[in-house]
Amino acid sequence: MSTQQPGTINTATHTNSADVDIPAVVAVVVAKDPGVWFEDMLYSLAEQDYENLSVLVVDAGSENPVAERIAVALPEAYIHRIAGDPGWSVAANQALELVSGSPFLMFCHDDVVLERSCVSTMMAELYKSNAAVVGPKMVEWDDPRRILQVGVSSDRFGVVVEQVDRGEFDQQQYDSPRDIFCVPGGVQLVRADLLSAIGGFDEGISFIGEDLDLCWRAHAVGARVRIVPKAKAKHIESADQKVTSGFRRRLQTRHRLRSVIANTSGLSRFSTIPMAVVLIVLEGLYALFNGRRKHAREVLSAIPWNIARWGSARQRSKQLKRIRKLSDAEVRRKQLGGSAQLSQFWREKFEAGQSRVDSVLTSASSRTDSASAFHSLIVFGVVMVILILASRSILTSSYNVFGQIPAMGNSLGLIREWLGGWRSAGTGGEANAPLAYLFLGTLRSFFFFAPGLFDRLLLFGPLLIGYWGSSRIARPYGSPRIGSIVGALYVLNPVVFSIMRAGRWDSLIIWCSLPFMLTSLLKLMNVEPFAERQDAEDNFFAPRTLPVRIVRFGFLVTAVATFAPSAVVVAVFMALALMAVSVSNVRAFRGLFGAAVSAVIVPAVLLLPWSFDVISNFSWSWLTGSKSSEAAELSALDILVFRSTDFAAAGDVFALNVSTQTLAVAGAVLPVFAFASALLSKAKPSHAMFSGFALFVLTSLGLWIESQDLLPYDLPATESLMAMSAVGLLLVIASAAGDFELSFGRSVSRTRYIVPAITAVGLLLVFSGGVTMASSGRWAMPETPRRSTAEALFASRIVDESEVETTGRILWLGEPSVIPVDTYPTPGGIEFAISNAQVDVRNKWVPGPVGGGSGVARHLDLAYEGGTSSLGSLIASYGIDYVVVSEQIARNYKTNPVDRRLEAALERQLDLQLDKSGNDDFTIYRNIASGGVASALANFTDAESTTALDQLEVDLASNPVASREVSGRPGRWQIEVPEDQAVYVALSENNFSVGGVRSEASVGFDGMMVLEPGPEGTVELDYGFSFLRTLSLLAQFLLISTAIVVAQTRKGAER
Amino acid sequence: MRKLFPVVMLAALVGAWLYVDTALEANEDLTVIQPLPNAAMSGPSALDQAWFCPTGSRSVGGVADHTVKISNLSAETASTAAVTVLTEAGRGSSSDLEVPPGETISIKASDIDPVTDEDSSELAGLTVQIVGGRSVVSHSVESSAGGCLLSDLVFRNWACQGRFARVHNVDEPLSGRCQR
Repeated sequence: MSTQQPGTINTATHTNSADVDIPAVVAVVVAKDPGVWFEDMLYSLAEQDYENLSVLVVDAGSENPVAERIAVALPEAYIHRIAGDPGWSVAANQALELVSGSPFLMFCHDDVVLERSCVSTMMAELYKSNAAVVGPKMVEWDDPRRILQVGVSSDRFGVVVEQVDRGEFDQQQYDSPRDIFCVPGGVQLVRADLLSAIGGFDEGISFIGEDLDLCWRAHAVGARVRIVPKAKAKHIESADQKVTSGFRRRLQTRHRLRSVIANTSGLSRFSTIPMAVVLIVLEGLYALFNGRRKHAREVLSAIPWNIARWGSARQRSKQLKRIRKLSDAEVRRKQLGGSAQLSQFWREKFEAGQSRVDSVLTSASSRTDSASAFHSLIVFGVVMVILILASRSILTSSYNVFGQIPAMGNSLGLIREWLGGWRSAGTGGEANAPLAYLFLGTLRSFFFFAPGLFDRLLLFGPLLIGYWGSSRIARPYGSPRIGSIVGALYVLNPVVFSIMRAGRWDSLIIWCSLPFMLTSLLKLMNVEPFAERQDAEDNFFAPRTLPVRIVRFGFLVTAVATFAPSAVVVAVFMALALMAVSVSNVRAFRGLFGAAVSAVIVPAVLLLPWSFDVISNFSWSWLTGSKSSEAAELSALDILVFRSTDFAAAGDVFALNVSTQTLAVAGAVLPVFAFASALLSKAKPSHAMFSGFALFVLTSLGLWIESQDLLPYDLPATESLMAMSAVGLLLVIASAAGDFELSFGRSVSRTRYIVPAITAVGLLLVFSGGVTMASSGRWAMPETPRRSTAEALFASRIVDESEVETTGRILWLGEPSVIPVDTYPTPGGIEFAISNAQVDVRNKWVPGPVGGGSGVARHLDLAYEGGTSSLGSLIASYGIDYVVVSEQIARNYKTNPVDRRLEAALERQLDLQLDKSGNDDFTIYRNIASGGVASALANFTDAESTTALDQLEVDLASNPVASREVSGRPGRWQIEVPEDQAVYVALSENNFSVGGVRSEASVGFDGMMVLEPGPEGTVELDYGFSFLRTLSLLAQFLLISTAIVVAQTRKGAER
Repeated sequence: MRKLFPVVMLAALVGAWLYVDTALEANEDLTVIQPLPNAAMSGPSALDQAWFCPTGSRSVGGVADHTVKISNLSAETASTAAVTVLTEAGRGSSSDLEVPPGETISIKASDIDPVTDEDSSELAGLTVQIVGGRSVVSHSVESSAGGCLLSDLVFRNWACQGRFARVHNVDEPLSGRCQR
């Protein structure tokens, strides 16, 4: 027992020889019940080749005092014992009081072993580089060839990031000394004066995180922190064995937040501290959604813990402030940018996504017999050939969009419209653009080399997705053969023909998404074989909590509703239909109820701020969408065989070579297959099978009741509901066929031979229906859509030299299904829309009047009621040059007559002239009272007109003014103004900046703009970027990101 | 057999549904009578109103001098009437008249747009557009032999398409229903 007991260590006495001036280093070893490795640690200190090294062991309340072990291994070491367990930092800080005269202190854990030259190498580097804190390369205890740490870095929120992959082989690849943000706590060689100046280790941090805090403060006072990889130390990391991962997480989170509070200064603390708290809250919420409540508690407890210790943290902050040399921004430059936690999280998610894609690509063929895979390949091939043949003209020749198909314009303009808050629809005005603009604009930008290809994919892509989704319904049954058969039954169903022929793009989107919605709901119901499977490699069966599943369903509905808003109604209908057969299954019932709510709430939240416009202009008819222009009156048989339109009409007009009756027969295959397979199935009908039948029965019943005019409200489009009925039957077939395939090998009955034969015949019928669809090569679509006719109205206008070329708008009237833009009803119920000369996607997804749309609606109602014969003058105020009444979506299509009273009202108008110069595609009235978007006012008092009666007296037709909307720049206009005349501009005077030869504008009739008189020249009107809009888009981005994160989480998954 | 029961029941229900649907179709009355639009005079909230008055002569002292009478029913506000002559050549001249409250004024087609050498068409219709107030318009043809009041042949339900004025319903009086 020759160890030296407490007292002040005077290192001056330990200078080895008078002639060698080697600076003293005191190794401070904080020991707390060290393991068997402790002697090795002491021996390694004893064997150091550094000649002026003393050792102080601080026994931090070990249950078995370590003095005897030290006496044996390193008798010259000093020992200082502290009662109780004050924590590592308090124990380490004892050195500041106990050691005097030594300029350097080396803090060591009790579970490291230093290489013989470790201290000398570090000291050499410390002097060479004038560093204040240095540390060695840490290697594994059992295999020193593997690296543990070569310093660590951190972001501004105190999240530590390793610099190397743990376990990497040491090939001296990191052996250059370099600056680092933090030297890990296993071994830290620190200048004693610096340690004293910055207040030592933070005693509020018991252990874990004290090393980062120390280095952070060292940086703040301008000290250099370096890693010296040529110095090596083995580390057993015994603390990991002593504490649980949960306790470690709890301490990590607490201490990193404390370091942020104590070490940030100035204005940046007002951003950094709240952001650090937000990140902790996000982590907690994420854990909660994962069903890891303990994890959530552990991280969220960091907030109250730090609030309780706010005073001591701020005190350290003030102490640092007095000696700080570097500003917070300068320190931050040494840290990692952004959030290391988020970066790591997204990296993990990306890797998870990759493995998910791998599982999708490999699952079909890896788990099944080769015959099944071969059959599926044959069916898939035939389906693809039919689809390509059916779309050959669309894919190869000139293609004109029509109906609901988005007519794409300028991609950049679309993105700008989404960003800026100006909508070109209606008369143009402040409104929120849908997220679909961002998606379409961005995706189309990638097709800059062939934008037409993107437009074609908008039509062809959903067909492929529909096949994939429907074959996925059979995935839990493990048979690619069944998957391909149900895929074929779905894609070659006559309802697809009805959708394509009438340009029902919204219905196409819903059609292709319905199989995904169904599988999502079945997984949410947790019914076999869709139930979650523990430790499933296949992401399809990944275990997730019920709230996550509900959010996932809502997220799916959101994605679809972005392009087809009626998906919300369809999804709710589907969830309610499945609830009908889940009354006895409480979990499923509860989940489906949640899904129905989620289908409304999640899109409403994630599609903000556009959804705000939808809600504030709420119209049930807009939400459910228009019916197909070709919709026929439905009989029960029509509903059963998926005949939503008159196939014969299409056959007559478009010269389909094969009898259209084959379509009806192909449609009948699906219900016949479903009933036959259910009858032949040997197993008891499963919950999944009942669910499929419920969808079929309730949807068909709903359609029939609606066809009998017994419903007070419209249902979504017939094709969308028929598609839902079809996926229900697909589920029945998949369920029964899955059972049949299972028992197929064991069966000795004739069924074994009959069923494949019947299946083959059924498939042949379906394929023959497909051939009928394919015969026209363009799904019997029209070759010349009417949209282009409307656009030609302005293009064909003959302008004399004496006339100015003006820009005007079109007022559309008629059934919503035959108008190529989104309509909305006037208070009196007249469906109308306003577009400019380019009838494109910017007029789609318009939930309500934009700009002066409400005014136009009022005037329309007035004319309809016989209250005016000057509708032209009234709507001229909104720049409307033409009134177009549409009754057909294209030539030879079904006529959807407009209300005769509306037609009579239009004919009564003195200033609407029937335009016979164009063509007979539409009934077109030219507004002889209109001067287009901009007109010079003859009298100064005209600018003061505020009532409709006043406005009747204003002559806008006599002095039209040239105007144009700058291409691809929504909300930017150029107006050529005459000298000394006020100019009426049919744009809502709101948030516009006026530039060029005029600088002032006042409010005219119904909020429109009047440019004050001034010099002649060009006036630039530019809609200002709305700050509120930017904020709301940022919020939307955060919400969607959060939803993606939540939707991806697995039950109990750690990260 | 018990396991097949639900499926068989469902098939039976679908069969019954098809039968009911067919029976309903057979009983359906194919003639659907849509209510006809009403061409009654608009109420006091009307912004402006227009009448088409066919047809008389427009030469001074012609065989059937076409005259319109406009009565302002309002006791407080004057109304403005724009009377336009329509001839075979299209829209002719127009005259704006102020009708004092509670009064009736009359004007002849020949006063607004008499027959000239360039435009010799004798027959003329008249449109009367009145902005503000409630008014009644009647028209008559007069000659040296006497006059004829044509108040029941004044229409609001009309259209001016290019050169021609078109009356929807010549046989029906103002208060009747418009049929096409």
